[in-house]
Amino acid sequence: MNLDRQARTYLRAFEAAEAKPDPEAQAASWAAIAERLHDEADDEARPHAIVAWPKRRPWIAWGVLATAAALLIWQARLLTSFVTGLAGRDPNDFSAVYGTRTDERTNATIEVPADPAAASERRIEASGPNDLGHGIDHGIDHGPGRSSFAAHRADEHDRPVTELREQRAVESHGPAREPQASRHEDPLVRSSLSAAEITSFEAANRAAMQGNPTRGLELLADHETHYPASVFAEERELARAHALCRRGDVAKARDLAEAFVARHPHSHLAARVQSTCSDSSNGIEPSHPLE
Amino acid sequence: MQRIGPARTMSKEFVPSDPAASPPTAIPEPLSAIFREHYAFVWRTVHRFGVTPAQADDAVQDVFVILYRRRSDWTIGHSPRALLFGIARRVAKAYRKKATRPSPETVPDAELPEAPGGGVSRWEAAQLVRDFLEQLDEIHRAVFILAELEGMAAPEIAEALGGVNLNTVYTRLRAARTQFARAVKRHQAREARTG
Repeated sequence: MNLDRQARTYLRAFEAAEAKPDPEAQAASWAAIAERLHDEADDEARPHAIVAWPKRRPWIAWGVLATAAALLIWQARLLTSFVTGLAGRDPNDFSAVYGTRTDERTNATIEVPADPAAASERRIEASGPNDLGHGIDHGIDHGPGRSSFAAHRADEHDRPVTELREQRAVESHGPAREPQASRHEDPLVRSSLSAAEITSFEAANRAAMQGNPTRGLELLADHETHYPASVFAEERELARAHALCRRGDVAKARDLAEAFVARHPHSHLAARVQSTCSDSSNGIEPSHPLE
Repeated sequence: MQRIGPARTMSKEFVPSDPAASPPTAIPEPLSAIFREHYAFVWRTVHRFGVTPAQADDAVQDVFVILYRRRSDWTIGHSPRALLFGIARRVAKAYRKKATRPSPETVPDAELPEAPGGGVSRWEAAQLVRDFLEQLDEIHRAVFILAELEGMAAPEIAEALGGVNLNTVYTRLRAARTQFARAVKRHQAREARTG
C-alpha cells in the first residue's frame, strides 16, 4: 500500500517543521572530524608500549569466576522450576477431577472423569469462551486450549510468517491497537511475495544499479513479465531509470520518470525517480576515483 | 575491489579545512565527498533517532569518524547512505542513553507547507508525525523514515538495516504505513468532531 496525498501532506509538514542542520556548522564539523582523524593517524604511527598487566588482575579473575558461578546457579534454578512446572500439570491436579480405572481390554490404566460436570467445565474453561462446542462439533476433543489455538492458526495459515511477526510487532508497539487489515484488501499484497520473485528482483536490481545496465534492463523486463503486479513494481521502475541513465539513455530515463510520476504521484520514490540521472546518492560508480 | 583510501594516506601535512572550499589532499577524497553529500542526511538521522539538535553535530562527527575507521567494510556498489544510516542509528542510541528528552522545535506555522485541510493546522500535522515516530518501535521507525522521509527504495533500506531480506523490508513498511494512515484518519476524524 502507498500513503495517500493527505497522509503525505502530514509528512511534508513534519519535514518542514523539524530541526535542520546549520550550514555553518558543517564546516566546523568537518574541521573537527579531520582533527580527530589526524590524531588517530598520529596514534597509529606511534609505536605501542608494552602494557604490563594491572596488579589487580587476580581480583578481576575472581570476580569473573564468582559471576559465572552465580549465573550457573541461576540457570540451574530456572531449569529446575521449568521441569517442576512441566511435571506440575498433572497428578494431584487431575486426580481431583479424574479418577483412574483399568481398561479391561488393554489392561492399561486410563483416566475417567470422577465428576463429569467438573471435567466438562474444565474443558470449556481451557478452550476459552469463544470456542464453546468446537470439540463437540467435530466429535473430537483436542485437549485443553487446542480448539482456540487451531481456530486461530487456521485464519493465519496462509499468511507469510514474516508478515505475521512484523504485523504483531508493530501493533504491539505502535500508537494504536486496532484490528489488522486483511491482506486481501491490497491487490499488491495478494500478488507474489515468493522467494523466487524476490531473488529475481534482487538480481535485476543489482545488475541495473551496479552491474551491466543493459543486462539489468533485460532482467527487469523479465521480472515484469513474470510478476507484473509485484510489490516491488515501483522499485523496478527506479532501477530501470537508473540503468537507462547509466547506459546514457537520459531522454528515455526522463520519459520514464514523467510516466512514473503521472502513474504514482504519491509514491515515496517519485522524487528519486525524477532525479535519477543527477542522483549520485545511490552508490558510487566504478569510475569514481577512490584513491 | 577498490576501497576508501587506506590509513597511510593520512599524514602530518594534513590541514583541516572546509571541504566545500578546498578539500584536504591528505584525507581520502571520497570521505570528504561523502561528508559533503551526506552531512545533512546523517544530521537528520541522528536527530530523528533522538539526538538533540545541540548534540547532533557531535554525533555527526562520531558517525564520520567511525565510517573512516570502517573503511575496509565499504566497497563500490554499496550505498554510502545505507552504511551511514546503520552507523548513525547506533551512535544516536549511545547519545540517547545520556541525553534528556529533546525539546520540541518551534517553527512558525506560516513557514510550513500546505496544510492537510479539514481544520488541521500544519503545526498539528507535524506534531502528529513526530508523535507517531516516537511511539513506533525502532525497527518499523527505521524503515518508515528511510522510505517515506528519505525516499529510499527497498533494496537500499535492506542494506541500511544490515542486510535484512526484501520481504521483511516490505512487510515492515506496509505495517508502518498502515499504522500511519490510521493515525492520520483518526486525527482528522477527531478534528472534524471538535470543529
